[in-house]
Amino acid sequence: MSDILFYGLLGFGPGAVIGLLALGLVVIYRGTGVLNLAHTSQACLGAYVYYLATLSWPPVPALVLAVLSAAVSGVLVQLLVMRPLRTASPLTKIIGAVGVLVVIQSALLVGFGSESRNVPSVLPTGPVPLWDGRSIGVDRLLLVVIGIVVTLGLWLLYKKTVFGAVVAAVAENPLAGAALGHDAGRIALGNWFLGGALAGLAGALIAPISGLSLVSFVSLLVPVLAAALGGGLISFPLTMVGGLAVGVARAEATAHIDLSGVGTMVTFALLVILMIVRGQAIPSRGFVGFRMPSLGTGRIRPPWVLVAVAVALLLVWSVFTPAWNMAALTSLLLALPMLSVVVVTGYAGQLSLAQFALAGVGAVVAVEVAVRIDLPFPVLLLVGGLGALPVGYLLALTARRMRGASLAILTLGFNVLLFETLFIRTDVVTVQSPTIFGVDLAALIDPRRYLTLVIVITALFALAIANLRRSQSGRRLIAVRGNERAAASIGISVNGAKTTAFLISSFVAAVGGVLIAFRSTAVTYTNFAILDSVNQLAWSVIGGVGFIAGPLIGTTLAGGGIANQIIAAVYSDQFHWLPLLAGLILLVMIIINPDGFVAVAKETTGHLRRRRRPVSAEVRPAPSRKAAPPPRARRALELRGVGITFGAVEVLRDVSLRVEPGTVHGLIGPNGAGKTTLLDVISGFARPQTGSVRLGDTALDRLPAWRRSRSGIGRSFQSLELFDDLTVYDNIRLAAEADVRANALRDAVWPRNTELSAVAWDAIRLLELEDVLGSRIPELSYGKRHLVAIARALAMDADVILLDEPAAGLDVHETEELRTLIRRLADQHGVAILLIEHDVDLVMSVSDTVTALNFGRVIAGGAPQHVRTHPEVVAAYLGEETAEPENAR
Amino acid sequence: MRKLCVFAVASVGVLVLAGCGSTGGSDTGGDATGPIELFQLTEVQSATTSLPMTETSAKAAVAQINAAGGINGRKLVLTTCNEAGDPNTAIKCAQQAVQDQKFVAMVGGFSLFGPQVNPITEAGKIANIGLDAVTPNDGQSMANFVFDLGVPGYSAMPAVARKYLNATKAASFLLDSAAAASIDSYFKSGAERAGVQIVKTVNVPVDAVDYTQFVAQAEDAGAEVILSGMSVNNNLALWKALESSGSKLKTVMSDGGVSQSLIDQAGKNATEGNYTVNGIPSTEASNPTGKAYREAMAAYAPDEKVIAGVGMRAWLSVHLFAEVAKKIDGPVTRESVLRAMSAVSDMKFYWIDALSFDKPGPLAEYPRIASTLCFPSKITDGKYQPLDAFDPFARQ
Repeated sequence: MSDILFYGLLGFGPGAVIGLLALGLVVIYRGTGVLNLAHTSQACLGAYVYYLATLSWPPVPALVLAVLSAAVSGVLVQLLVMRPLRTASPLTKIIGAVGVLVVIQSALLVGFGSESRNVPSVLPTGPVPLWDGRSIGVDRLLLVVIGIVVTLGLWLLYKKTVFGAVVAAVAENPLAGAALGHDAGRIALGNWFLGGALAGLAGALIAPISGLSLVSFVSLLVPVLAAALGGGLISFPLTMVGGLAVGVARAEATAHIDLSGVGTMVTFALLVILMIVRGQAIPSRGFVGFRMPSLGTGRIRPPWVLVAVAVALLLVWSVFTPAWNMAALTSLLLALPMLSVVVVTGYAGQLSLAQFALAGVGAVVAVEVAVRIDLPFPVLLLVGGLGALPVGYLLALTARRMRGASLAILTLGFNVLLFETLFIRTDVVTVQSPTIFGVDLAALIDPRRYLTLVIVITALFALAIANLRRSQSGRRLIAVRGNERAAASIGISVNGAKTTAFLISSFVAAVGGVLIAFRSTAVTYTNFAILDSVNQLAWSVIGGVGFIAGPLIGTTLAGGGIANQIIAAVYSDQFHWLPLLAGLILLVMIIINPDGFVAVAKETTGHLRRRRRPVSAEVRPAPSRKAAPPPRARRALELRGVGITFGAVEVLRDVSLRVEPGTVHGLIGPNGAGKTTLLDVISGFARPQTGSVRLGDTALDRLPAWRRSRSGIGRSFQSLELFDDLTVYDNIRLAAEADVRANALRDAVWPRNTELSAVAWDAIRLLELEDVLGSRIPELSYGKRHLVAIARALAMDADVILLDEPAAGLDVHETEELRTLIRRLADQHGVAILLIEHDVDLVMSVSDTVTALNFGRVIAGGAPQHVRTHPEVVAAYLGEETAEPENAR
Repeated sequence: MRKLCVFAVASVGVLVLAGCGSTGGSDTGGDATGPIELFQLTEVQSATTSLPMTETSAKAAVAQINAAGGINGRKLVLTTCNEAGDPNTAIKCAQQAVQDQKFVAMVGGFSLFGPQVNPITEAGKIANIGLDAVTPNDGQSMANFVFDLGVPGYSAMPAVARKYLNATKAASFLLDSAAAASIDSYFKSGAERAGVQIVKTVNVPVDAVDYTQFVAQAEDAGAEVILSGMSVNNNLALWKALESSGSKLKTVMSDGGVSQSLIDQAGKNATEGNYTVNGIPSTEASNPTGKAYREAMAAYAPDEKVIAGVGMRAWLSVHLFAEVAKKIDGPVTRESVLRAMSAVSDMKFYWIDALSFDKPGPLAEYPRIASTLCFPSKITDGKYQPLDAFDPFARQ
């Protein structure tokens, strides 16, 4: 027992340091939404400033200088990097932070080298006696005190001051904050200053304990992220508790469990537990998702691919010297696994930092099989690819509960775990050089044959991914990326889509990993180091993760690749400032082209093409020639005694209503009456505590949103929630093909072109959307977008359609068309419609039945005229007609 | 469109046929009259390891040899490639050495990525002389000619602990890394030979901040000494933890994990009475090899502050090449150098009385390691104090 207490106590010191670092990370995230992966390198910068200052000054002023220096570095990061990237995707901002990390680390390397330095402590040192002859350094105990004091200070600052309130407000809604006179840019500066200061403080306190070196700080990133996650990236007290927990858990684990890597496993286990506890499923109402990188169309002409491959092979075999071929091989070997990022991040919007680690898993599986069973190399590629699927599935499971920065942190932790427990633990393995049909592909001296294989495989994967993009499976991924709620509302299984994305990307990454491993006959897995993984992702982002060509272009900048070769040819390959230059280039490129180089090139060439040749009338998809299906029996929607409470607020109480097929049921009530919540309950986005929802004889209560949608519930949203990355046609097509079973494997080989249903075409014609079918959503007016949202809901051919304020933003003509459409759907197609509208005239004129809600209760129900004149309805919502005042004439 | 497809298919067909041809290299020699080109693959600068003194030291040797007339009148020229802590760059460097036929040998090498580099140099049939055997593979590759103990030298550390500290119980400190398993095996085999018990193996996480807990683990296990297989940065943290916790434990470390600069940084209190082990003699002027090295460095790079074993190894490797190359009958080419190095037999080379590469070395698992002598030092008053050399693999 005393052992456990003692080691726990020893863990508090490092835990406090981790917590202190995590506090700075949380300050920045809270205030700006940026996950600052450069935080520990800012701490390193502070530590080096402290070290330099202590050569001439006493420790206390040296500490102040260190804190200020790191704070200023935070301000510079905000001004020079994050502010230009303020409208960029979260992934781009993360990569921007990586660029800052590279620049700081490289600059420190140039200035100080990698040599360790001893740094005097600002705290008193010396042992404090404990029990049984044991002792602990007094500075370790003081670190805990400092950590608690800083936590308390931050808590008070953000909870009890105007600054804290403003930070919270601006972080929640910058536009609203600006409308109230709060400059988001200045708020961000303040947070970066404070976060940087905390990094500097932590760095100056850590360095005297651990010694000062570049590597030690970078490796702290994952434990710091774990601690930050303990506080949900929001709570300062819980963040410090998280840090202390990490420190204590690691100390106990390494002391009592004799297993290599147990410290890392414990950190990762804590990370996973915290994420599972704090994770969230479908985003709540109002959340429309982060901005993601631009997407390519996936339109590739196979003949051009063939030509490109032929030209590449010509260069390889007849033009390039061996040095250039090696550089090309290095670049392509890095590009191939990163094509997986196009699928999982570009298309599906999942921020995964584990893709290169998945490549390593594929390599390990293939190599372990190769040393035991003599298999042809193509089979080994397949084995490696399949071998990573279980790991990809695990990542998909985590992605179900978290997104954005949280998912990025977890996948980074995964990366670390795989590296520490698998990759560096594996001895050098000797394998036979790969052969195909008896041809030796060994790349030791002459890489041309191996490079030829890699070129062909890369081309095949590029074509497959392009097929996926244009297919139904691809559209579903993009829908999930754009808006998970909306995707579920049109019958897309969000979890299923994420799983598909992770599985496909795992396979692609793993095949790339096998090719990396078999480049040499002596295989080690040091290629899959954590920082290298993040670097490869950074290069891919620079190229553009929404485009297949993005990673192919971006990874030419990676170490040992084509860019290196160019610099060697032009200048020298022994340019020691190259890493610093590379970091600066990374930053400049990402600031200039947040969506990636390919996006810019595409825009530029599109511009030039339009100038040279005016765009002809857009080719529109032809309406379906299929006859409309015969009307079928529809089912009624019934709610019985539905009640739901959010916290202490009872939003709905004992609500019952029935919507018959072929009728329109209006739902009215003042703001906050619970109307949209009722739609959320029906469509599966909110779980009632009491009551039931039935569609015909089918109870929907246990079904998730996407299954209810496929069962026959269609819905439009008040906030539209369209898929901005897709055209109008594809938005509607997604809903129309909800019942069509998607097959990603088939789609990757031969994408099927699904047509719109007759019902969907009906809605398009009636809402006059034919001319905008090829347009993307951001190009449309608000009114037109509203019509698209309605058309999408209608395209599902559902038994019941829930329309949430469909007339908002429509002009008189459009409203009239909408009225006609609603009646037509009910009368001619037998659809049951539940309509929420504040346009009382519209509701009353189009509805067969009306229900009025107030404070979550039904206050009236029945024929429109009856409800319209009901005293409670008049009092709560409609008001009374009054005589015109005399002075109004 | 059809023409385009036909052209593309035809092109690919031609290329495939061309690709089936031989890709073997042709000539492999250097010019018989011009300078003799040497190649060095080393860690000049990276975030984890910066050894610029390896380049300086090798160049100091080149300058020395050229001043003395070169190799039979031909000057030496050295090209250094920095692998920069990156395996892809290491491969690129190795490829450069092999592809560019002007390089007749590699010298003064230090690579963290031996398993990736060695197959390339072996396939390219270029002698890699005097490299630092950082990984086990370095002692196995047939293109390598290693004259110091290298990584198997960890086996000597328990014997040093026994002999100089009277320790019979040791704790081994290993950094969680790919090398940990092999270092651990060396510690265990060396401990068995020396009659030392490894009472605790501490696996130190890469991101460990405070080593106090690991020191406590060693003490709790009853260790009398700490054998450290960790790198320079981690050893500093270990010394600081020992000092701050008031521990009486001493350490035995690899010379590669310590430097005079590190000793100066840590201070006399933290380092007094600790030991290091090296596979080559100390760089102190008290031994002839160290003296010669220091004089060479003073002449070539008087401002160089870091005089370390890893630099001296690079310097020695160039001299070894020179001694062997001078005796080559005929042109000094890649093949003739490889042949001559492979034929070295009972050659007197500095402290080695009978250096031989014509047969496997004393260690069966590492046939390219020719000498198993190790050179311990004690840190006294902030300086290395060389002790008697011994062979940890000799039968007791």
